[in-house]
Amino acid sequence: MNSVVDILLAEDNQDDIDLALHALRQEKLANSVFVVRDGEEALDFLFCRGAYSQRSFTHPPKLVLLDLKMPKIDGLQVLKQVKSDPRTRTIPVVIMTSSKEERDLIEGYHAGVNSFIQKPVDFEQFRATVKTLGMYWLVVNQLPVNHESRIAVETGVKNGGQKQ
Amino acid sequence: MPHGYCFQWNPLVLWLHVISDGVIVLSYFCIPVALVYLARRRRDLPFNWIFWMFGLFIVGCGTTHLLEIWTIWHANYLLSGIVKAITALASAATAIMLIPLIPKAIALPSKEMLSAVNYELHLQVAERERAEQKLASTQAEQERVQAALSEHQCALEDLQLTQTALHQSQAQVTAIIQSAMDAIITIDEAQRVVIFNAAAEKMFGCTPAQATGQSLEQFIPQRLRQGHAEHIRRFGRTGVTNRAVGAPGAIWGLRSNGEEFPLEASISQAESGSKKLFTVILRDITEQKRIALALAEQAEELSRQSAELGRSRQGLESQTLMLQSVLDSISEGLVAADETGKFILWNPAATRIVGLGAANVPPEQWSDHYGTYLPDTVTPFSPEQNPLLRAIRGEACTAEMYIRNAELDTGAWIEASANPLKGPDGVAHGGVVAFRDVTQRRADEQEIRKLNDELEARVVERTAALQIANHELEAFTYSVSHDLRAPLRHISGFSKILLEDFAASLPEEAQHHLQRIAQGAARMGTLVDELLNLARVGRQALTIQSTELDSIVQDVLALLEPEIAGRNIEWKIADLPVMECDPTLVRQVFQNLIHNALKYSRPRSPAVIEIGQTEKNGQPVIFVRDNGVGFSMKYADKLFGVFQRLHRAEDFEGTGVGLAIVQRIVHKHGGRVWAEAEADRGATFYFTLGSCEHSDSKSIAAAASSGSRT
Repeated sequence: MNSVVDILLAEDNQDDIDLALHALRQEKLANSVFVVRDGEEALDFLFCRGAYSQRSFTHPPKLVLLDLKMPKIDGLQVLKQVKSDPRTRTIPVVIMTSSKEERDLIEGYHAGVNSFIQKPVDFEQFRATVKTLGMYWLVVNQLPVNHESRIAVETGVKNGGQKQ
Repeated sequence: MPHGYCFQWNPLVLWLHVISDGVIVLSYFCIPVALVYLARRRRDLPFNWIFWMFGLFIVGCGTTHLLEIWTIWHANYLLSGIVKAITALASAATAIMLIPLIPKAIALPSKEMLSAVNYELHLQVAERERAEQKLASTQAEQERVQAALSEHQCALEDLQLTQTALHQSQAQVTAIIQSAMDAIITIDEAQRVVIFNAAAEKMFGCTPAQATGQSLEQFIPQRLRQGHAEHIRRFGRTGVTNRAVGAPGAIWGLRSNGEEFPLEASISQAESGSKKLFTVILRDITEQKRIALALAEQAEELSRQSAELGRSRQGLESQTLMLQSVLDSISEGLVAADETGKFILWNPAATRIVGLGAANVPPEQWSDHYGTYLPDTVTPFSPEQNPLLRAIRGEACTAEMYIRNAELDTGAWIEASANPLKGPDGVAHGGVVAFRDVTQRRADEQEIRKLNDELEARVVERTAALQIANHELEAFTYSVSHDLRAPLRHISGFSKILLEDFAASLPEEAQHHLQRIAQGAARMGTLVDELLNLARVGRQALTIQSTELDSIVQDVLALLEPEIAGRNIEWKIADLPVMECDPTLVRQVFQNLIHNALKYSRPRSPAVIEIGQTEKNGQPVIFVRDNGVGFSMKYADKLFGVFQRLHRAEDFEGTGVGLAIVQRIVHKHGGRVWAEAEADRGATFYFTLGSCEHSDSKSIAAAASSGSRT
């Protein structure tokens, strides 16, 4: 449970989970994927509480793949909470959804989403998309190595920059 | 025969008597006439009365003879007797009176005796006259000597008095002459100035010293000198004192400074010893003439003004007539009253609207008389509220009024506007109110209001229903978008996984079927996406702005580059206007139409695609034309239907939603879209953007800046 998680997949539909994992596996990205089934669980995981209280903010996932339509708390709510908290703000969040509603897009970008992807119907395309995503966020993109110092900078900035 | 016996039965005897008596009668009647005539003519005759007596008695005798004839046929002997008795009395009286007269008549002197006496008297008279004459002449001589004596004495005294008076008079005359207002100049026969008074000096600008002894001519304009000299000579010769020579203005004087001026002159002559002197009295009438001229001008001006007044009066009369006919013909009621509330105007329309004419009723009773009520239809208008009375008090106002009286079948609603009648001094001298019957209009308004309310209620109802429908549609789209696509992805995904991971254990036919399943799912995914697209276009609100269609076409061509690449295409792209439209949606129109043109011209080489504009009914029409496979016009009505296709999917891929989206966008702009085509000869799609007017200035600017890109 305390192991390093590269990708957090928040998705309620088992079929979608299977297909996503299949694609990620094929791209050799499935080893460090953790799946949560609704928004509440996703927030518990990210904010290290409830069932995930042993987790530490020092090891956040490198990427969150977020479905919008989920039970209890929907994807946009999860996004907003993640992006409004300094401890989780730097975690890249990519929305992957079936719909391509303009208002969802607008709301997502307003809340600070890093990317917005519509899941293609065609599996080939889906696989290509997943591959691109994984390559980009886990390999190409650079993130601060030490998450603790990241948080320190965040709070320091907030407190008037007393910590360097 | 009468009195036959007396006349011996002899008619001769009878007629002898009758005729003789007749002659006697005539004679006896003539004699007194002669006597009376004599007595009247010679009243100096002595004993005149005896002639009257003779006359009377002879008339009596004549009458007795007349009665002799009468009694032959008429035996009136009594009358005859009475007449005879009167005659007898007269005869006797005459005879008696004659007797004492005889001696007197004898004593009357004869003519010779009278002549002698006369001569004697003449002699005496002559002697007497001679003596009287002698006496008279002596007396006259004495008186004459006495008178001459006193006359001489008087003359002596007079002479002394006259001398004194003469001196005084001369001084007076000189003073008068010098102080006279008129110029007085006396000249001698040679026209040399003798007297020249102060007024003359002032008039001619020449001192008496300078003037005296000089010729009068120097005071007369050159052109008039000849005539004037002649005039003076004639006057001197004839001696006629001709005063006021000529009419005013006929005479002109000459001042020493050369100025001519009009004169009024009178001239008189007097002889002083052997000399003849002429005196002229002159008056400068420059001022009079000026005044006369001014008066004439004033008179002319007055007559002009009076003519003008006449004209304006005529104008006013015709204007009054015109106004009267206007008042009679207008449909608005017009009522005016003076400051006491007496009506001075009440036009026919007013009578028609109110039902009553002008009545001699005091203002506080108007409300009762005419039945005027406030808009609540029951409270009578008080004098404070009555618009006409308010106007009379100097207040302009409007009011709505309800009128109900016996003359009106139904009550009438009136809209009144009142104003004070102001005199030239700006003070109100009454008021005027104009009003119209708005009964019908009120009814109409009420009806309209009712209809409006109903309509509004219906609109609210419909809007609510529409909103519900919209929400449902939105929810539906969202769930289609999200929930319907998911299973398709799963079908596609798992069939792909089967094909890849279990290919070895699957017969070739099974692999083929799995492929068909994946393709079907993919196609359905596309259809769902297109449908959602169409629904989105329907729901989306227009964001109208000035849009350069040229740049939109360029964007679309860039977007379609993958399809253009490697094809032999001849583009003919004209300059397009700037239009007011939603750029995002219009971009989709161009994208779909150009995409279609590319798709259906795929068999052609070169493919010719033309994008241009034309005009229809003054509106710009945009078109996209290709030389592709076209279609038969008998299917044209199916073109824009959803999922309607005129080609097989094997020949030309597509969902049949693209043109439906184009039509929806064009209709949203209030425009029209249509196509012209022929099988195998290409197709042209036209569209307008309807009421969204293109902006001319921008279109010209755009046309000028963009070159031809054909």
